[in-house]
Amino acid sequence: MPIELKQVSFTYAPGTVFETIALQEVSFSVEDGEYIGFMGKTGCGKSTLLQLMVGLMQPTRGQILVDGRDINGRGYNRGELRKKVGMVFQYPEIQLFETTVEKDVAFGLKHSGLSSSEIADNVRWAIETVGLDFEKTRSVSPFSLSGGEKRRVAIAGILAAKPKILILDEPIAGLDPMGRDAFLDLTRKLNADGTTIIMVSHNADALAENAHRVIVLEAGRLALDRNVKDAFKDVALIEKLGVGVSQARVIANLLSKCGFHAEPDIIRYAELQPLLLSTAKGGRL
Amino acid sequence: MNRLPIGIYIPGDTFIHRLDSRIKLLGLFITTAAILLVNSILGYSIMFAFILGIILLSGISMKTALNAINKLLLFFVIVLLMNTFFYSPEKPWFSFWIFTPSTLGLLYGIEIVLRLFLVLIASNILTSTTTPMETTHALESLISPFRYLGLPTGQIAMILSIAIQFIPTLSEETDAIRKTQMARGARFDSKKISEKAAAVLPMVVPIFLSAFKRADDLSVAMEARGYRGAKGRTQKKGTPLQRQDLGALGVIFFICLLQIVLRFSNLTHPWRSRF
Repeated sequence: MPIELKQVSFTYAPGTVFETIALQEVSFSVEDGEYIGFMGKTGCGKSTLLQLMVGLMQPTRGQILVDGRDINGRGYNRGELRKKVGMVFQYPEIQLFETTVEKDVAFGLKHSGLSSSEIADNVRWAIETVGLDFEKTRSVSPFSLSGGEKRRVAIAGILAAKPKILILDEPIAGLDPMGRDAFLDLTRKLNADGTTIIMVSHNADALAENAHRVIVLEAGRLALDRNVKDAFKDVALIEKLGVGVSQARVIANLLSKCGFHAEPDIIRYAELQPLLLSTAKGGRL
Repeated sequence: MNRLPIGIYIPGDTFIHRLDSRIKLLGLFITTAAILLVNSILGYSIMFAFILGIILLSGISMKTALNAINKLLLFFVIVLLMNTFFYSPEKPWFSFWIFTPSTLGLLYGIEIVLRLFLVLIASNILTSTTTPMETTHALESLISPFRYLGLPTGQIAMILSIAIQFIPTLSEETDAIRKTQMARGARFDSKKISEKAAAVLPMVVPIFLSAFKRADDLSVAMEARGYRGAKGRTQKKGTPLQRQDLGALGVIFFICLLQIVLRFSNLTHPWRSRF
Protein backbone atom coordinates (compact mmCIF):
# COMPACT_ATOMS: atom_id res chain seq x y z
CA MET A 1 0.00 0.00 0.00
CA PRO A 2 1.71 3.26 -1.13
CA ILE A 3 0.52 5.74 1.49
CA GLU A 4 -1.29 4.91 4.67
CA LEU A 5 -2.13 7.31 7.49
CA LYS A 6 -2.99 5.78 10.84
CA GLN A 7 -4.68 7.98 13.44
CA VAL A 8 -2.47 10.95 12.62
CA SER A 9 -2.71 13.92 14.97
CA PHE A 10 -0.69 17.10 14.94
CA THR A 11 -0.43 19.95 17.41
CA TYR A 12 1.51 23.16 16.80
CA ALA A 13 3.66 24.50 19.67
CA PRO A 14 2.47 21.93 22.22
CA GLY A 15 2.65 22.93 25.86
CA THR A 16 2.71 26.68 25.19
CA VAL A 17 0.05 29.36 25.07
CA PHE A 18 0.16 29.12 21.29
CA GLU A 19 -0.84 25.46 21.28
CA THR A 20 -3.09 24.78 18.30
CA ILE A 21 -4.53 21.43 17.36
CA ALA A 22 -4.25 21.15 13.59
CA LEU A 23 -5.15 17.50 12.98
CA GLN A 24 -7.00 14.91 15.01
CA GLU A 25 -6.83 11.20 14.33
CA VAL A 26 -6.89 11.35 10.57
CA SER A 27 -6.74 7.94 8.88
CA PHE A 28 -6.95 7.07 5.21
CA SER A 29 -4.92 5.33 2.57
CA VAL A 30 -3.99 6.07 -1.00
CA GLU A 31 -3.59 3.35 -3.63
CA ASP A 32 -1.12 3.41 -6.52
CA GLY A 33 -2.33 5.37 -9.51
CA GLU A 34 -5.15 7.20 -7.76
CA TYR A 35 -6.02 10.85 -8.36
CA ILE A 36 -7.25 12.28 -5.11
CA GLY A 37 -8.86 15.66 -4.58
CA PHE A 38 -8.38 17.27 -1.19
CA MET A 39 -10.81 19.91 -0.02
CA GLY A 40 -11.61 21.86 3.10
CA LYS A 41 -12.03 25.38 4.37
CA THR A 42 -8.96 27.55 4.93
CA GLY A 43 -7.30 26.51 8.17
CA CYS A 44 -8.79 23.01 8.27
CA GLY A 45 -5.36 21.37 8.31
CA LYS A 46 -4.87 20.46 4.64
CA SER A 47 -1.44 22.01 4.27
CA THR A 48 -0.30 20.57 7.58
CA LEU A 49 -1.41 17.12 6.47
CA LEU A 50 0.45 17.38 3.16
CA GLN A 51 3.63 18.46 4.92
CA LEU A 52 3.35 15.49 7.25
CA MET A 53 2.95 13.18 4.27
CA VAL A 54 6.24 14.31 2.75
CA GLY A 55 8.04 14.14 6.08
CA LEU A 56 8.68 17.87 6.50
CA MET A 57 7.05 17.70 9.92
CA GLN A 58 6.42 14.81 12.26
CA PRO A 59 2.98 13.89 13.58
CA THR A 60 2.39 14.41 17.29
CA ARG A 61 0.69 11.00 17.38
CA GLY A 62 -0.02 8.33 14.80
CA GLN A 63 1.91 6.83 11.92
CA ILE A 64 2.41 7.59 8.26
CA LEU A 65 3.45 4.60 6.16
CA VAL A 66 4.83 4.93 2.65
CA ASP A 67 5.19 1.57 0.90
CA GLY A 68 4.56 -0.09 4.22
CA ARG A 69 7.33 1.67 6.14
CA ASP A 70 6.91 4.31 8.82
CA ILE A 71 8.50 7.47 7.41
CA ASN A 72 9.23 8.75 10.92
CA GLY A 73 10.59 5.42 12.10
CA ARG A 74 14.20 4.92 13.12
CA GLY A 75 16.60 4.39 10.27
CA TYR A 76 14.14 5.43 7.56
CA ASN A 77 15.96 7.05 4.67
CA ARG A 78 14.43 10.48 4.04
CA GLY A 79 16.32 10.72 0.76
CA GLU A 80 14.35 7.72 -0.52
CA LEU A 81 11.11 9.37 0.54
CA ARG A 82 11.98 12.57 -1.32
CA LYS A 83 12.60 10.52 -4.46
CA LYS A 84 9.27 8.70 -4.16
CA VAL A 85 7.07 11.61 -3.14
CA GLY A 86 7.25 14.98 -4.86
CA MET A 87 5.52 17.99 -3.40
CA VAL A 88 4.46 21.16 -5.20
CA PHE A 89 3.73 23.89 -2.66
CA GLN A 90 1.44 26.86 -3.07
CA TYR A 91 3.20 29.42 -5.25
CA PRO A 92 6.12 27.08 -5.98
CA GLU A 93 7.85 29.82 -8.00
CA ILE A 94 9.44 31.11 -4.78
CA GLN A 95 11.87 28.20 -4.97
CA LEU A 96 13.65 29.49 -8.11
CA PHE A 97 17.20 30.68 -7.49
CA GLU A 98 19.56 29.42 -10.19
CA THR A 99 20.98 31.38 -13.10
CA THR A 100 19.35 29.28 -15.81
CA VAL A 101 16.15 27.30 -16.12
CA GLU A 102 18.09 24.10 -16.82
CA LYS A 103 20.24 24.42 -13.68
CA ASP A 104 17.25 25.25 -11.52
CA VAL A 105 15.28 22.23 -12.70
CA ALA A 106 18.31 20.01 -12.14
CA PHE A 107 18.87 21.28 -8.59
CA GLY A 108 16.76 18.65 -6.87
CA LEU A 109 18.60 15.82 -8.66
CA LYS A 110 21.99 16.70 -7.19
CA HIS A 111 21.64 14.15 -4.42
CA SER A 112 19.62 11.63 -6.38
CA GLY A 113 22.56 9.45 -7.36
CA LEU A 114 21.67 9.62 -11.05
CA SER A 115 24.42 9.92 -13.66
CA SER A 116 24.81 13.27 -15.39
CA SER A 117 23.33 11.97 -18.66
CA GLU A 118 20.30 10.62 -16.79
CA ILE A 119 19.93 13.97 -15.06
CA ALA A 120 20.08 15.77 -18.42
CA ASP A 121 17.42 13.42 -19.81
CA ASN A 122 15.14 13.94 -16.82
CA VAL A 123 15.54 17.71 -16.96
CA ARG A 124 14.71 17.85 -20.65
CA TRP A 125 11.71 15.56 -20.12
CA ALA A 126 10.45 17.65 -17.18
CA ILE A 127 10.77 20.98 -18.99
CA GLU A 128 9.01 19.60 -22.05
CA THR A 129 6.33 17.90 -19.94
CA VAL A 130 5.29 21.21 -18.35
CA GLY A 131 4.87 22.57 -21.86
CA LEU A 132 7.96 24.73 -22.30
CA ASP A 133 10.33 24.66 -25.28
CA PHE A 134 13.51 23.07 -23.91
CA GLU A 135 15.94 24.58 -26.43
CA LYS A 136 14.48 28.06 -26.07
CA THR A 137 14.24 28.18 -22.30
CA ARG A 138 17.14 26.04 -21.05
CA SER A 139 19.70 28.84 -20.78
CA VAL A 140 17.31 31.64 -19.91
CA SER A 141 17.24 33.08 -16.39
CA PRO A 142 14.11 31.81 -14.64
CA PHE A 143 13.54 35.35 -13.35
CA SER A 144 13.05 36.73 -16.84
CA LEU A 145 10.02 34.49 -17.42
CA SER A 146 6.37 35.40 -16.91
CA GLY A 147 4.53 34.36 -13.75
CA GLY A 148 2.87 31.36 -15.37
CA GLU A 149 6.14 30.20 -16.93
CA LYS A 150 7.96 30.57 -13.61
CA ARG A 151 5.42 28.27 -12.04
CA ARG A 152 5.93 25.73 -14.81
CA VAL A 153 9.69 25.80 -14.32
CA ALA A 154 9.20 25.34 -10.58
CA ILE A 155 6.93 22.36 -11.16
CA ALA A 156 9.42 20.93 -13.67
CA GLY A 157 11.98 21.11 -10.84
CA ILE A 158 9.84 18.69 -8.88
CA LEU A 159 8.83 16.46 -11.79
CA ALA A 160 12.48 16.03 -12.78
CA ALA A 161 12.94 13.57 -9.93
CA LYS A 162 10.12 11.50 -11.50
CA PRO A 163 8.27 11.00 -8.23
CA LYS A 164 5.88 8.08 -8.02
CA ILE A 165 3.51 10.14 -5.93
CA LEU A 166 2.92 13.82 -6.64
CA ILE A 167 1.36 16.02 -3.97
CA LEU A 168 0.08 19.42 -5.08
CA ASP A 169 -1.03 22.22 -2.75
CA GLU A 170 -3.35 24.63 -4.59
CA PRO A 171 -1.33 24.42 -7.80
CA ILE A 172 -3.83 26.33 -9.94
CA ALA A 173 -4.35 29.32 -7.62
CA GLY A 174 -3.56 32.53 -9.48
CA LEU A 175 -3.21 30.96 -12.94
CA ASP A 176 -5.16 32.30 -15.91
CA PRO A 177 -7.88 29.99 -17.38
CA MET A 178 -5.57 28.73 -20.15
CA GLY A 179 -2.75 28.02 -17.74
CA ARG A 180 -5.17 26.30 -15.41
CA ASP A 181 -6.51 23.98 -18.09
CA ALA A 182 -3.01 23.22 -19.37
CA PHE A 183 -1.93 22.39 -15.84
CA LEU A 184 -4.90 20.12 -15.17
CA ASP A 185 -4.26 18.32 -18.46
CA LEU A 186 -0.69 17.81 -17.30
CA THR A 187 -1.80 16.23 -14.01
CA ARG A 188 -4.19 13.95 -15.90
CA LYS A 189 -1.44 12.90 -18.27
CA LEU A 190 0.97 12.16 -15.43
CA ASN A 191 -1.76 10.19 -13.69
CA ALA A 192 -2.42 8.18 -16.85
CA ASP A 193 1.28 7.34 -16.94
CA GLY A 194 1.00 5.88 -13.44
CA THR A 195 1.81 8.78 -11.11
CA THR A 196 -0.38 8.96 -8.03
CA ILE A 197 -1.76 12.49 -7.72
CA ILE A 198 -2.98 14.12 -4.54
CA MET A 199 -4.21 17.63 -5.21
CA VAL A 200 -5.54 20.23 -2.81
CA SER A 201 -7.87 22.68 -4.48
CA HIS A 202 -10.79 24.97 -3.71
CA ASN A 203 -11.82 24.58 -7.31
CA ALA A 204 -14.59 21.96 -7.23
CA ASP A 205 -14.80 21.91 -11.04
CA ALA A 206 -11.15 20.99 -11.37
CA LEU A 207 -11.59 18.13 -8.91
CA ALA A 208 -14.89 16.90 -10.40
CA GLU A 209 -13.31 16.74 -13.85
CA ASN A 210 -10.09 15.05 -12.78
CA ALA A 211 -10.11 13.33 -9.40
CA HIS A 212 -11.20 9.76 -8.72
CA ARG A 213 -11.75 10.30 -5.05
CA VAL A 214 -12.46 13.29 -2.83
CA ILE A 215 -11.33 13.72 0.76
CA VAL A 216 -12.66 16.61 2.82
CA LEU A 217 -11.16 17.81 6.09
CA GLU A 218 -13.09 19.87 8.58
CA ALA A 219 -11.43 21.46 11.63
CA GLY A 220 -8.60 18.93 11.58
CA ARG A 221 -10.79 15.86 11.24
CA LEU A 222 -11.55 13.67 8.26
CA ALA A 223 -15.11 14.62 7.32
CA LEU A 224 -15.60 12.79 4.04
CA ASP A 225 -13.72 10.22 1.96
CA ARG A 226 -15.68 8.95 -1.05
CA ASN A 227 -15.27 8.45 -4.75
CA VAL A 228 -15.86 11.64 -6.64
CA LYS A 229 -19.41 10.84 -7.84
CA ASP A 230 -20.69 9.91 -4.41
CA ALA A 231 -18.97 12.89 -2.84
CA PHE A 232 -20.48 15.55 -5.11
CA LYS A 233 -23.86 13.80 -5.20
CA ASP A 234 -24.42 14.84 -1.60
CA VAL A 235 -24.74 18.59 -2.19
CA ALA A 236 -26.12 19.31 1.28
CA LEU A 237 -23.22 17.59 3.02
CA ILE A 238 -20.56 19.16 0.81
CA GLU A 239 -21.97 22.61 1.42
CA LYS A 240 -22.21 21.97 5.16
CA LEU A 241 -18.49 21.23 5.12
CA GLY A 242 -17.86 24.67 3.67
CA VAL A 243 -16.67 23.56 0.24
CA GLY A 244 -18.58 23.79 -3.03
CA VAL A 245 -19.79 21.29 -5.61
CA SER A 246 -18.98 21.60 -9.31
CA GLN A 247 -20.91 24.01 -11.53
CA ALA A 248 -22.29 21.09 -13.56
CA ARG A 249 -23.74 19.60 -10.38
CA VAL A 250 -25.27 22.95 -9.41
CA ILE A 251 -26.94 23.34 -12.81
CA ALA A 252 -28.18 19.74 -12.82
CA ASN A 253 -29.62 20.37 -9.38
CA LEU A 254 -31.43 23.49 -10.55
CA LEU A 255 -32.83 21.62 -13.56
CA SER A 256 -34.20 18.86 -11.40
CA LYS A 257 -35.70 21.42 -9.04
CA CYS A 258 -37.49 22.94 -12.05
CA GLY A 259 -39.03 19.58 -12.79
CA PHE A 260 -36.61 18.29 -15.43
CA HIS A 261 -35.18 14.82 -15.13
CA ALA A 262 -31.50 15.17 -14.19
CA GLU A 263 -29.53 12.24 -12.84
CA PRO A 264 -28.04 12.97 -9.40
CA ASP A 265 -24.62 11.74 -10.51
CA ILE A 266 -24.01 14.50 -13.05
CA ILE A 267 -20.87 16.26 -11.85
CA ARG A 268 -18.92 17.00 -15.03
CA TYR A 269 -19.54 19.36 -17.90
CA ALA A 270 -19.43 16.50 -20.43
CA GLU A 271 -22.22 14.73 -18.55
CA LEU A 272 -24.33 17.85 -18.29
CA GLN A 273 -24.02 18.90 -21.92
CA PRO A 274 -26.30 16.22 -23.49
CA LEU A 275 -28.94 16.93 -20.86
CA LEU A 276 -28.82 20.66 -21.60
CA LEU A 277 -28.98 20.07 -25.34
CA SER A 278 -31.87 17.64 -25.16
CA THR A 279 -33.78 19.91 -22.80
CA ALA A 280 -33.24 22.86 -25.12
CA LYS A 281 -34.22 20.84 -28.21
CA GLY A 282 -37.37 19.72 -26.48
CA GLY A 283 -38.29 23.38 -26.65
CA ARG A 284 -38.95 23.55 -22.98
CA LEU A 285 -36.22 26.05 -22.11
CA MET B 1 7.22 26.68 15.13
CA ASN B 2 7.37 23.92 17.64
CA ARG B 3 9.56 25.77 20.12
CA LEU B 4 8.72 29.22 21.32
CA PRO B 5 11.29 31.81 20.32
CA ILE B 6 12.79 33.74 23.23
CA GLY B 7 10.97 36.91 24.14
CA ILE B 8 7.96 36.39 21.89
CA TYR B 9 4.86 38.36 22.90
CA ILE B 10 2.54 36.29 25.06
CA PRO B 11 -0.97 37.75 25.07
CA GLY B 12 -2.46 38.51 28.45
CA ASP B 13 -4.44 41.06 30.40
CA THR B 14 -2.40 41.65 33.55
CA PHE B 15 -1.27 44.86 35.19
CA ILE B 16 2.08 44.59 33.40
CA HIS B 17 0.43 43.94 30.02
CA ARG B 18 -1.81 46.99 30.41
CA LEU B 19 1.00 49.29 31.49
CA ASP B 20 1.85 52.00 28.96
CA SER B 21 4.63 50.76 26.69
CA ARG B 22 6.57 54.03 27.06
CA ILE B 23 6.67 53.48 30.81
CA LYS B 24 7.74 49.87 30.36
CA LEU B 25 10.60 50.78 28.04
CA LEU B 26 11.73 53.71 30.20
CA GLY B 27 11.34 51.43 33.21
CA LEU B 28 13.63 48.87 31.59
CA PHE B 29 16.32 51.52 31.05
CA ILE B 30 16.07 52.74 34.65
CA THR B 31 16.01 49.19 36.00
CA THR B 32 19.11 48.38 33.95
CA ALA B 33 20.84 51.45 35.37
CA ALA B 34 19.85 50.35 38.87
CA ILE B 35 21.15 46.83 38.23
CA LEU B 36 24.50 48.22 37.08
CA LEU B 37 24.76 50.30 40.25
CA VAL B 38 24.28 47.40 42.62
CA ASN B 39 27.32 46.26 44.51
CA SER B 40 26.02 44.73 47.71
CA ILE B 41 24.18 41.58 48.71
CA LEU B 42 21.30 43.70 50.01
CA GLY B 43 21.16 45.54 46.68
CA TYR B 44 21.02 42.29 44.72
CA SER B 45 18.32 40.95 47.03
CA ILE B 46 16.20 44.01 46.36
CA MET B 47 16.64 43.70 42.59
CA PHE B 48 15.85 39.98 42.66
CA ALA B 49 12.71 40.61 44.71
CA PHE B 50 11.70 43.42 42.35
CA ILE B 51 12.13 41.30 39.20
CA LEU B 52 10.39 38.35 40.84
CA GLY B 53 7.49 40.65 41.74
CA ILE B 54 7.18 41.79 38.12
CA ILE B 55 7.25 38.19 36.85
CA LEU B 56 4.46 37.26 39.27
CA LEU B 57 2.43 40.35 38.30
CA SER B 58 2.84 39.69 34.58
CA GLY B 59 1.41 36.17 34.84
CA ILE B 60 4.32 34.77 32.80
CA SER B 61 5.41 31.33 33.89
CA MET B 62 8.86 31.01 35.47
CA LYS B 63 9.83 28.69 32.63
CA THR B 64 9.10 31.33 30.02
CA ALA B 65 10.78 34.07 32.03
CA LEU B 66 13.94 31.99 32.43
CA ASN B 67 13.80 30.98 28.77
CA ALA B 68 16.25 33.73 27.91
CA ILE B 69 18.82 32.29 30.30
CA ASN B 70 18.87 28.66 29.18
CA LYS B 71 20.56 29.31 25.86
CA LEU B 72 23.18 31.56 27.47
CA LEU B 73 24.27 29.19 30.22
CA LEU B 74 27.51 28.39 28.41
CA PHE B 75 28.19 32.09 27.94
CA PHE B 76 27.71 32.67 31.66
CA VAL B 77 30.10 29.87 32.52
CA ILE B 78 32.73 31.32 30.19
CA VAL B 79 32.34 34.82 31.65
CA LEU B 80 32.72 33.36 35.12
CA LEU B 81 35.83 31.37 34.22
CA MET B 82 37.48 34.22 32.31
CA ASN B 83 37.04 36.57 35.24
CA THR B 84 38.18 34.04 37.79
CA PHE B 85 41.36 33.22 35.89
CA PHE B 86 42.35 36.56 34.41
CA TYR B 87 40.78 39.36 36.45
CA SER B 88 43.36 40.07 39.08
CA PRO B 89 47.02 39.23 39.46
CA GLU B 90 46.76 40.17 43.13
CA LYS B 91 46.52 37.48 45.81
CA PRO B 92 46.05 34.56 43.38
CA TRP B 93 45.31 31.06 44.63
CA PHE B 94 48.19 29.93 42.48
CA SER B 95 49.96 31.25 39.44
CA PHE B 96 50.49 29.20 36.29
CA TRP B 97 51.59 30.58 32.90
CA ILE B 98 49.05 33.41 32.27
CA PHE B 99 46.46 32.09 34.72
CA THR B 100 46.02 33.85 38.03
CA PRO B 101 42.79 32.62 39.57
CA SER B 102 41.71 34.64 42.58
CA THR B 103 38.78 35.13 44.93
CA LEU B 104 38.49 38.70 43.72
CA GLY B 105 38.13 37.51 40.12
CA LEU B 106 35.56 34.90 41.08
CA LEU B 107 33.47 37.48 42.95
CA TYR B 108 33.73 39.90 40.05
CA GLY B 109 32.65 37.16 37.64
CA ILE B 110 29.67 36.29 39.80
CA GLU B 111 28.69 39.93 39.87
CA ILE B 112 28.78 40.26 36.08
CA VAL B 113 26.76 37.09 35.63
CA LEU B 114 24.18 38.28 38.18
CA ARG B 115 23.81 41.61 36.43
CA LEU B 116 23.46 40.05 32.99
CA PHE B 117 20.97 37.58 34.39
CA LEU B 118 18.80 40.35 35.84
CA VAL B 119 18.97 42.59 32.75
CA LEU B 120 18.13 39.68 30.44
CA ILE B 121 15.11 38.65 32.49
CA ALA B 122 13.90 42.23 32.73
CA SER B 123 14.08 42.71 28.96
CA ASN B 124 12.49 39.31 28.41
CA ILE B 125 9.54 40.43 30.52
CA LEU B 126 9.23 43.61 28.48
CA THR B 127 9.07 41.80 25.13
CA SER B 128 6.84 39.03 26.50
CA THR B 129 4.22 41.51 27.70
CA THR B 130 4.43 44.17 24.99
CA THR B 131 3.59 43.75 21.33
CA PRO B 132 6.42 44.70 18.96
CA MET B 133 4.28 47.55 17.62
CA GLU B 134 3.82 49.00 21.10
CA THR B 135 7.54 48.77 21.73
CA THR B 136 8.22 50.65 18.50
CA HIS B 137 5.76 53.38 19.42
CA ALA B 138 7.42 53.67 22.80
CA LEU B 139 10.85 53.93 21.19
CA GLU B 140 9.51 56.52 18.78
CA SER B 141 8.18 58.69 21.56
CA LEU B 142 11.33 58.29 23.64
CA ILE B 143 13.63 59.39 20.80
CA SER B 144 11.34 62.21 19.67
CA PRO B 145 13.16 64.91 21.71
CA PHE B 146 16.26 64.26 19.60
CA ARG B 147 14.57 65.81 16.57
CA TYR B 148 15.65 69.17 17.95
CA LEU B 149 19.22 67.98 17.44
CA GLY B 150 18.49 67.33 13.78
CA LEU B 151 17.88 63.59 14.08
CA PRO B 152 15.22 62.40 11.59
CA THR B 153 13.23 60.72 14.34
CA GLY B 154 10.10 60.29 12.23
CA GLN B 155 12.01 58.37 9.59
CA ILE B 156 13.85 56.29 12.16
CA ALA B 157 10.52 55.38 13.71
CA MET B 158 9.05 54.50 10.32
CA ILE B 159 12.03 52.28 9.46
CA LEU B 160 11.85 50.57 12.84
CA SER B 161 8.14 49.89 12.66
CA ILE B 162 8.35 48.55 9.10
CA ALA B 163 11.30 46.35 10.02
CA ILE B 164 9.51 44.95 13.04
CA GLN B 165 6.28 44.37 11.15
CA PHE B 166 8.10 42.37 8.52
CA ILE B 167 9.84 39.97 10.89
CA PRO B 168 6.95 37.48 11.07
CA THR B 169 6.28 37.75 7.33
CA LEU B 170 9.88 37.09 6.42
CA SER B 171 10.28 34.28 8.91
CA GLU B 172 7.17 32.60 7.54
CA GLU B 173 8.52 33.00 4.05
CA THR B 174 11.90 31.60 5.06
CA ASP B 175 10.15 28.58 6.46
CA ALA B 176 8.13 28.12 3.27
CA ILE B 177 11.23 28.39 1.09
CA ARG B 178 13.15 25.95 3.28
CA LYS B 179 10.32 23.46 2.94
CA THR B 180 9.96 23.78 -0.83
CA GLN B 181 13.68 23.30 -1.32
CA MET B 182 13.73 20.31 1.03
CA ALA B 183 10.76 18.78 -0.76
CA ARG B 184 12.70 18.83 -4.01
CA GLY B 185 15.79 17.27 -2.56
CA ALA B 186 17.87 20.03 -0.94
CA ARG B 187 19.74 18.80 2.11
CA PHE B 188 19.72 21.16 5.06
CA ASP B 189 19.99 18.40 7.62
CA SER B 190 23.31 17.18 6.26
CA LYS B 191 26.21 17.07 8.69
CA LYS B 192 28.87 17.65 6.04
CA ILE B 193 30.13 21.23 6.11
CA SER B 194 30.47 21.42 2.33
CA GLU B 195 26.85 20.36 1.83
CA LYS B 196 25.70 22.77 4.51
CA ALA B 197 27.46 25.63 2.74
CA ALA B 198 26.03 24.62 -0.63
CA ALA B 199 22.57 24.65 0.89
CA VAL B 200 22.78 28.37 1.69
CA LEU B 201 22.37 29.66 -1.85
CA PRO B 202 18.94 28.12 -2.58
CA MET B 203 17.74 29.79 0.62
CA VAL B 204 19.39 33.18 0.39
CA VAL B 205 18.53 34.02 -3.24
CA PRO B 206 14.75 33.49 -2.90
CA ILE B 207 14.63 35.24 0.49
CA PHE B 208 16.41 38.32 -0.83
CA LEU B 209 14.27 38.36 -3.94
CA SER B 210 11.08 38.22 -1.97
CA ALA B 211 12.30 40.83 0.53
CA PHE B 212 13.16 43.25 -2.28
CA LYS B 213 9.86 42.58 -3.99
CA ARG B 214 7.99 43.21 -0.77
CA ALA B 215 9.93 46.40 -0.13
CA ASP B 216 9.12 47.56 -3.64
CA ASP B 217 5.42 46.75 -3.28
CA LEU B 218 5.31 48.45 0.09
CA SER B 219 6.93 51.65 -1.18
CA VAL B 220 4.44 51.83 -4.03
CA ALA B 221 1.56 51.22 -1.62
CA MET B 222 2.85 53.91 0.74
CA GLU B 223 3.24 56.45 -2.04
CA ALA B 224 -0.20 55.58 -3.37
CA ARG B 225 -1.58 56.50 0.02
CA GLY B 226 0.20 59.83 0.00
CA TYR B 227 3.38 59.21 1.97
CA ARG B 228 5.83 62.01 1.25
CA GLY B 229 8.55 61.37 3.79
CA ALA B 230 8.17 61.25 7.52
CA LYS B 231 8.62 64.97 8.08
CA GLY B 232 5.60 66.75 9.45
CA ARG B 233 3.60 63.58 9.92
CA THR B 234 1.14 63.76 12.74
CA GLN B 235 0.38 60.87 15.02
CA LYS B 236 -2.82 59.18 15.84
CA LYS B 237 -3.40 60.48 19.33
CA GLY B 238 -2.23 57.89 21.80
CA THR B 239 -3.66 57.26 25.19
CA PRO B 240 -2.39 59.65 27.86
CA LEU B 241 -0.49 58.20 30.79
CA GLN B 242 -2.78 56.73 33.44
CA ARG B 243 -2.36 56.98 37.17
CA GLN B 244 -1.04 53.40 37.43
CA ASP B 245 1.57 54.16 34.75
CA LEU B 246 2.93 57.05 36.77
CA GLY B 247 2.74 54.92 39.91
CA ALA B 248 4.78 52.18 38.28
CA LEU B 249 7.33 54.70 37.07
CA GLY B 250 7.50 56.09 40.61
CA VAL B 251 8.20 52.63 42.03
CA ILE B 252 11.00 52.05 39.51
CA PHE B 253 12.53 55.46 40.24
CA PHE B 254 12.34 54.69 43.95
CA ILE B 255 14.20 51.40 43.45
CA CYS B 256 16.85 53.13 41.38
CA LEU B 257 17.22 55.85 44.01
CA LEU B 258 17.51 53.21 46.70
CA GLN B 259 20.36 51.57 44.80
CA ILE B 260 22.13 54.90 44.42
CA VAL B 261 21.85 55.52 48.16
CA LEU B 262 23.02 51.97 48.92
CA ARG B 263 26.00 52.30 46.66
CA PHE B 264 27.27 55.65 47.80
CA SER B 265 26.64 55.33 51.51
CA ASN B 266 28.31 53.13 54.04
CA LEU B 267 24.95 52.11 55.47
CA THR B 268 25.28 48.64 54.08
CA HIS B 269 28.85 48.15 55.06
CA PRO B 270 28.44 44.80 56.85
CA TRP B 271 26.90 43.21 53.77
CA ARG B 272 29.19 44.66 51.18
CA SER B 273 30.40 41.88 48.93
CA ARG B 274 33.32 43.85 47.53
CA PHE B 275 36.46 44.44 49.51
